[in-house]
Amino acid sequence: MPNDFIGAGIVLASVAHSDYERLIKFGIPESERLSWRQTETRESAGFVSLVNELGYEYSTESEVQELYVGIPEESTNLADAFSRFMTNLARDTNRPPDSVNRPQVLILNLMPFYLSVTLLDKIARGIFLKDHDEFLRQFETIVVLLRNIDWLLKSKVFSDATQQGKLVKDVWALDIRCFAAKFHRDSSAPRQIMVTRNAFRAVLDTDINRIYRSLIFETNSYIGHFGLPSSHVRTHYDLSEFIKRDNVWEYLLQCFEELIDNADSLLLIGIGMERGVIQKMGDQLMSLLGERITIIFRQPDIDSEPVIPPNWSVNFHMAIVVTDIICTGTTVDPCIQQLQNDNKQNRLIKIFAIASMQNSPPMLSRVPVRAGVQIRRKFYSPNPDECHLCKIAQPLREVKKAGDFCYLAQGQLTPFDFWEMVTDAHALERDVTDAHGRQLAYRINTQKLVDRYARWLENVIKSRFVGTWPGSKVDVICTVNEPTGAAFTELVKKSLSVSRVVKLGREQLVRCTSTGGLPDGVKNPFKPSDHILVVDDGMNTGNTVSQLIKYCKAAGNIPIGGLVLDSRLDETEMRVLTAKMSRNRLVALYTWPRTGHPIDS
Amino acid sequence: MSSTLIHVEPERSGFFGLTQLEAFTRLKIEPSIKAMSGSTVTMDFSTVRIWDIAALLWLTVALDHYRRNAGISYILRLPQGSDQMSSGDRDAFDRSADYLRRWRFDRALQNIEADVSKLLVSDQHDYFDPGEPRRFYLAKKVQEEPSGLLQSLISRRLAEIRDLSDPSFTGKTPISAQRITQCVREFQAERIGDILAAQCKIEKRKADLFSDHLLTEALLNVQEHPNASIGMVAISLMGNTKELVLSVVDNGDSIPQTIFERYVQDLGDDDRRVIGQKYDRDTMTRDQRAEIAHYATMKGVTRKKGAVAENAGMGLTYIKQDSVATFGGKLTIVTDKVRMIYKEDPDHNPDVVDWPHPWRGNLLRISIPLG
Repeated sequence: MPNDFIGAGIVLASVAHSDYERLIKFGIPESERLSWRQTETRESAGFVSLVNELGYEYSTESEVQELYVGIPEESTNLADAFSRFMTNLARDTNRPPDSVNRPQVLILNLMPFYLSVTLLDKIARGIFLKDHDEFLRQFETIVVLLRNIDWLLKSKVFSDATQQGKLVKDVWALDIRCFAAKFHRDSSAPRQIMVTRNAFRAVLDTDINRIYRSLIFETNSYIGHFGLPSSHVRTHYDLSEFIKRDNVWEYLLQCFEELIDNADSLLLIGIGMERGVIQKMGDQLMSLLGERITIIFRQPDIDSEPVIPPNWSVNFHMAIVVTDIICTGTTVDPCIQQLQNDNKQNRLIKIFAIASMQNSPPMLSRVPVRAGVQIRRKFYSPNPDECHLCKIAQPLREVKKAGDFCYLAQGQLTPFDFWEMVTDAHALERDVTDAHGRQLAYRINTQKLVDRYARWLENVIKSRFVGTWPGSKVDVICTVNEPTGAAFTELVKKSLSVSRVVKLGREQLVRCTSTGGLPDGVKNPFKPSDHILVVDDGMNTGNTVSQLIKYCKAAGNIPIGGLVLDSRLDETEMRVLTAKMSRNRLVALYTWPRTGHPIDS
Repeated sequence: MSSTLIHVEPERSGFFGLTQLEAFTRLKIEPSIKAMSGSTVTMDFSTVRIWDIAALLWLTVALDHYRRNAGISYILRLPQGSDQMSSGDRDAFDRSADYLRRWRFDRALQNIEADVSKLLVSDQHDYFDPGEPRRFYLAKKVQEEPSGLLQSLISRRLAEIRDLSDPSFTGKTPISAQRITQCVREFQAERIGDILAAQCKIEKRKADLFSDHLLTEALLNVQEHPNASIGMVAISLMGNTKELVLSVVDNGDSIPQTIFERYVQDLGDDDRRVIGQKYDRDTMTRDQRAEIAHYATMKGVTRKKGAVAENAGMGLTYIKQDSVATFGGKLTIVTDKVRMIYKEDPDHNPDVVDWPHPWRGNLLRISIPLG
């Protein structure tokens, strides 16, 4: 192909993240947004490589214009939503760029969405059949990124449009599995090819630091003190959620491919407590690599010995033990030794773990441990005299199966929990002025806490809510309209699946009196049947929570209770507030007094 | 309060499927509904050795109806092995019980009663939370299933019944788009296609169609049935027939009812007599109801233009086409007292039989062979 596309531009259009929720009502599920967002380490040039996998020769110097385009709230159906998306895209693209030639490639990125054929029918109608031809004509190439091209291949709407000659350009569809199809505007049958994974690896941001952050801060997690057979650990991460992410899986696959090198037959043995995760890895590896490598995957039955075929080294060039997280290695080591004892052909034996701990052994029985991620925490000895967590009386949870990790101990958040989070997030602010104009010696920046620990705090909130208000449901959250508490309110909303939040300005709150009802001219934001939860990020004196309760009562509702992240009130002060709510509960995830706390000295 | 005992009669093999459920409700429950008033009925399922997941989900819808609409008070006796049984029988009934636990049948029953133990006979109150170690399930004891597939599904919790209603909702219609789409995401993100490709050697793209297409369309189809308070989905392995079964049920408006307006509009151009007709499942014949339901599965189901056409989904059409043509399987639909089975050729009319049920709702059962 002639090399006359240097400098040609690429427009990469994605749905704005803030509008994903608007698509749920049209049947489009929550998305795989985390893997496909723009990050500081993701290479836009990867999208050029992606297009070139389809047979083009665009220069990697080509400018990539990434646009996040909105879906208006007033969209009436899915076709309408994507038609408006195209209108907005056309508007945003036609703004003359500072540099670069007229864009040559349009990439429509639907990769974050779990779709179906019927949903593609409607999306295709909105994109290709709603008078956007003039906009689409300006591009040399149109590429639709999807999770499965068969949705488009089976779409009756798209098929009819193609056969009726309604496409103004040839359209490529490319999916995460590396299948691609070209739909011709001359209505001939689609041409199908396969592409390599290389471009996906740049596009998906498989930088190790990004992957690490994905595990530690963006994965469902539990923090506490967990007693495993041979160690105690502080944290548990939901690996099943972790490896579902496109960029994480791409990264792990890359690590694994480096490990197997040129082996053409593999024996995989899965060992570990997270049987589902290990099974998933085995299934996906067999599916992805099984055509070029003979792979047998085995997991031990419950309480049985590992199933290693006798004389395995005769039939397999390599054996790999696949595991979830390596701490001491005592679970994996026996299997390694069994493989070594029956290795007459002197084959390579390797270990692949999704993660390891900071002090995990680098080798087991002289076999190096290859871990995808190293968690920057240590495991502890199970001896109470040696375990740091035992010494500080952090409540211990014995773990025999994976589900045992999903647990919040009585008393959590403990002081260690809270201050470890605050320290790690640099969330302690000194000598600040609060919204009331008061000078505070210390304040917790809850935004920073939520940014790093949202996934764990979500579990804490759910657990405390169920424990405090069993069988209850919250219809609306009532909170003060201030940026400092917004992150925590949003987290509570998400954790408890609350659909409405009423945010009140301070000036509204101060106008309420004890007996006067809502001020004149103020519309009641609540319905009589609403179950209201008062939420604030922190209580220093309780004034804000008190005002919120008063407002609810002025509106004719007694809140079912209140929830705050941290509180500095003593018991007497708490009782005063609960009395205002007819003794409905007021819960603080962590309490630390205003005076006499070590931090004050 | 007096009590009544009614026994379920599975097939001689111990199988309980849709046919057995129909016979149970028609012959054992319906004739005696009036007599059951004022007494607690014990429904005895203890002789069931093998369950069809579709029958189990449809049974839940039935039980909800009998509680809520017919006002019957009942408790259930579920299968369980005992020391008095022979070794073979004990294995069979323990396996049967274990399947109910693995499927999380308790989740289904929670649609009726939040405290499931209240729905069980007194000696089975801890049925869904028996102590460890369980006598059964070990992978090596499961002889008949495609190797590794069941283990894959169970270890990744894919064989559990998923509830499409929001358990914290208070009100009449808790089936939400959010919950349905959450289920779609859960299944697609699990890449079931990789399991089928790895364990059953099904070609990768075809294997991916199971969750990315069939399962997703079946879930999204529930949204087409308004007024549902119960919606459930489950996948299961039928070891004896080597089939993968996907079942979705709801107790919302039936397929014929929801499509009737479009059916009338489309046919009205050719047959003015249908204009103005109202749908009534009790006065329409079986063939009429089946024809209207079948209409929902046909390509290009509407000739209308504009927003109506844009919103007209082709979910059932695609499900039928790919269950039968792509996978060589069967699609069973039970709705408004008819049971329709599509097999061999999706363009042929279905086999239709009566399947009387006093409750409202829809059942889809997709079975694909695993070779």
